[in-house]
Amino acid sequence: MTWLHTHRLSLTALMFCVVAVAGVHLWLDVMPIADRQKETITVVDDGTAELAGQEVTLEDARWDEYPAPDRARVVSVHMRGSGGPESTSCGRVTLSEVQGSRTWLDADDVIDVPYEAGQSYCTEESEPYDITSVFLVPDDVEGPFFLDIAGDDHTITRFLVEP
Amino acid sequence: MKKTLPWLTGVALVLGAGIVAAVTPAPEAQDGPFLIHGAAGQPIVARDLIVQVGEARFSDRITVDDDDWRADGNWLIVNLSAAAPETEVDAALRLVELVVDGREFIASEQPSTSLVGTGLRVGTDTEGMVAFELPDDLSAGDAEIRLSTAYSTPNLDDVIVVPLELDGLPRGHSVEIAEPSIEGAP
Repeated sequence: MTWLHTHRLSLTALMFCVVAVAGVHLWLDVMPIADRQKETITVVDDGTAELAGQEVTLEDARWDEYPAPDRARVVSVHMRGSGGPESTSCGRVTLSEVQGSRTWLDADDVIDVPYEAGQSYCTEESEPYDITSVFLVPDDVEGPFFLDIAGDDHTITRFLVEP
Repeated sequence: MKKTLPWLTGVALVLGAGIVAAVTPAPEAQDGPFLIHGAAGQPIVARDLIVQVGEARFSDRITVDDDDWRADGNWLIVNLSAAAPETEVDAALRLVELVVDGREFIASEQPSTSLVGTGLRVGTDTEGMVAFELPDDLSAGDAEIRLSTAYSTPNLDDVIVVPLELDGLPRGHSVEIAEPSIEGAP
């Protein structure tokens, strides 16, 4: 009788234990991280994207359209939303360096943007409307930037912005 | 030899287990925070936070602008300047803690203009104040301020630690907790 045959019961139990530990590790430790990182980025190449139930068109981006604090500059990004019955609000809008790792959020709480400039992100509107997102960046930043707009189901629509 | 081998093996296993137990780091070392030590008056950089601790003083009362709100007590007020190094997403000072003789005091959320919870900017400093409500008899000793973007002391992430000597700090009757601001804002 071989050693394997003698210990077949304990070896079988050990094999089940190994499979169970691996399964629990995948389920509790690996899958949550994999799900969290599952983000689809769609790069817009013609300036217009379908998101939040409407068409959003990047019109232009400007430096220093609005006053900034010392050692900082303002990047203002102008877009046009088509609105319509299906339109909803989009998610978070961020500006990131193409060559770098810094990311900024809309800074309309710091920068005084006039009401006529429109919404600060795409929203629910029945008619076409203007969108102006403003970002406060340090004065060592040069661009270009990625403008990322979050949509549903971990999707991100990305515009290339060159003020 | 056949009889002694199992004994020797057993002793070796017990010794091996003892050595493994002895060299295994304590639980705090396995999942505790990474303490980034610095000094007041100089910027201290952590993974997701840059902070400079400024002036500190005691006050018997704190107030906020544009409001009738006030609170009497033994308050320690600390000026801070903070920024985010990489991203403004989820960047805010959430845990601001004063540790004195093992006692931990969280910065008060009562003053609506406290810097606690304010969104931070990348590349632009936000200046503000935090206030700790301390027991009446606590106005001296060696303290340290701990700062993090997490709501509670994080596991395996940076916490900035700045020593603060409470002895000799000035005491005023009333201090207004100024709203967080950006230096040189138009």
